[in-house]
Amino acid sequence: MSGSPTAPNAVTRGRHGRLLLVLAVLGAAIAGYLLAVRIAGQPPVCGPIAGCDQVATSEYATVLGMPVALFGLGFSLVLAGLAFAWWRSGARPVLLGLYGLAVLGVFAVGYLTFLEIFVIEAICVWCVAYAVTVVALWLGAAVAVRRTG
Amino acid sequence: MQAPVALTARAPAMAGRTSRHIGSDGRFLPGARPTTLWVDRRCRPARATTPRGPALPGAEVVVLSSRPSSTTPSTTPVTRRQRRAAERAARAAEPGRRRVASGRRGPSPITRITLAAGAAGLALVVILGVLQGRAPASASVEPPLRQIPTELADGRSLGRADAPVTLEVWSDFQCPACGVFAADTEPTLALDQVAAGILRIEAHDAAFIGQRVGRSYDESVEAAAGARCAAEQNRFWPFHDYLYANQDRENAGAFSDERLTAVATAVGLDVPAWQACRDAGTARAAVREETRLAREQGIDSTPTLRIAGQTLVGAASAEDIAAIIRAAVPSAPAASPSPVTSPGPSTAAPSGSP
Repeated sequence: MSGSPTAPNAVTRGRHGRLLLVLAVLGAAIAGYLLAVRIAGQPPVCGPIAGCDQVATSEYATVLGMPVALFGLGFSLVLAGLAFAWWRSGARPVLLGLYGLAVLGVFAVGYLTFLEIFVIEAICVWCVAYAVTVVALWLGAAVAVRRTG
Repeated sequence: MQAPVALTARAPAMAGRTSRHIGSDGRFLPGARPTTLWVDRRCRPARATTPRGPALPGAEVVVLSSRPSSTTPSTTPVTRRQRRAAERAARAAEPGRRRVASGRRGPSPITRITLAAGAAGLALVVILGVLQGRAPASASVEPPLRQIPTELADGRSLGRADAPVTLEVWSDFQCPACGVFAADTEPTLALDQVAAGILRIEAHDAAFIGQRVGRSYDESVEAAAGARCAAEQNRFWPFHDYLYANQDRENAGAFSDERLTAVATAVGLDVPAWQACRDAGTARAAVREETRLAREQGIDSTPTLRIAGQTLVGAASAEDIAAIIRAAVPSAPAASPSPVTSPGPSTAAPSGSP
C-alpha cells in the first residue's frame, strides 16, 4: 500500500499510469469501432488482411445475444477508469484490481483468437489489435505492480 | 554504499597515552592519533564496541552523526538507474516490506491475484465455450418421418414438367423453417397436387446460413452440393428428406463431411460416385451461383416460395398453397389438413448482426 508514495514511486506511477490509460483507451476505441460498424450493419474495413468481416459477422461475434464488441468496449472502459484512478490516486488496490481484470482479459482474448484461427479460420486485424492492447495492458500492469510495490 | 556514520572511541584511562585507530576490520591500529572513525551503516555500533582486535579498556563508542560522502546517492535521482535504486531503497526502508517481498508469509499479492484471476479466466473461457456450444453432432443419422414418393421425382424437381402450376422453393438445408416446410407441407403437396399432375415443385438453393460463420467448410453449400450429387443418381428427394430430418443447430456440424456421407449411405447412393461428384467441385460452384442469383432476385430469407406470380416467405402451409393453386386452376384438389405451424423464416442477414 502506498498511501504516501515516495517521489520515485510517484514518477513511476505517472509514467505507467499514462501508459495503462492510453492502452485502455486504445482498446476502447477499437472495440467501439467494431461495435459501431456492427450496429450500422457494415463490414469493418479490413485493409490488406482479409477476414475481419468474416469474423465480425460470424456467430461467435455474439454472446448472449449481444455483440462481443460491446463486451470489449465495456471491459476497456472499466480498465481505463481503473488506470485513471490509480494514476491520480496511487491506491494500490486499484492497481491490483486493474491487474486482475487484465489477466481475465488475456484469457478472453486468447479464447477469441483461438476461435479465429482454428474455428472460423479467418483473422480479424481489429480483433488482434484489441488483443494486443489487452496483453500489453496486462504486462504494463504487472510491471507497475512490481515497481510501485 | 550507504551513508557512513561517524563514531568516536574515547578511552579516558588512556588519556595522554598512545591512542589507537579502529580499522574497518574492527582491529585497533597502532600509531594513529585520531579517535573518530567512519564506518559503514551496516557496521552497527554494538559491533563496533566489540572489535575482534585487542580490547580498549573503558572505550566508549558514540554515534555522533550521519554525514554525506562522495559515495552517497544524490537526493534527486537523475538517471533511470539512480531512480530505480532510490525506489528500491525506499521500498527496503518501508516497514513490513521485506516480509512481503521475501515471501516468507506466503505468495505475494501479485501471485495471488494472478492465480485467482487465472482461475476466473479459465472459468470464463469454459462459460464462453458452453454459451457458444460447439458440441459436434453425432455421426449417425435418423430417417425422416415422412418421405416424398420417389416415383414423382424428376431430378431436383417433383412432378410433370408440363404441370399447370410451378412452385419454386428457395431454401437452405440448415434453415429450420425450411425443415418444417419439407417435413409437413411438401409431402402433403406431393401426395395431393403433384400426384394429380397439377403442381410441379422445383428446389432451388439459397445457401445463406453457412456464410455467416465464414468457414472454409460451408455446411449449407456442402449439404446442397451433396444433394445435387445425389440428384445425379436420381436420389435427390430422399437425400433432401434425410438432410431436413437430421438438422441440428446452424453451423454446428450437422452437415459435416462425415454426416453427409452417412446420409448418402442411408439413402442408398453409390457413395464413391457421389463422393467423386462432390470432389469435382462443380456442384458446389452451382450452389454458390444459384445462391448469388437468389440474392440478385431479392431473396434474402428462406424458405421463399414463388407460385402463380406470388411470393411467400416462410413455411407456408399446404392449405395456403392449395388455395393459391385452386385460384389458378379451379379444378385442383384441396390439400389434406396439415398440422404445420409456421415458424419464422431464416434471413440472409448474419444472425449476430444487431
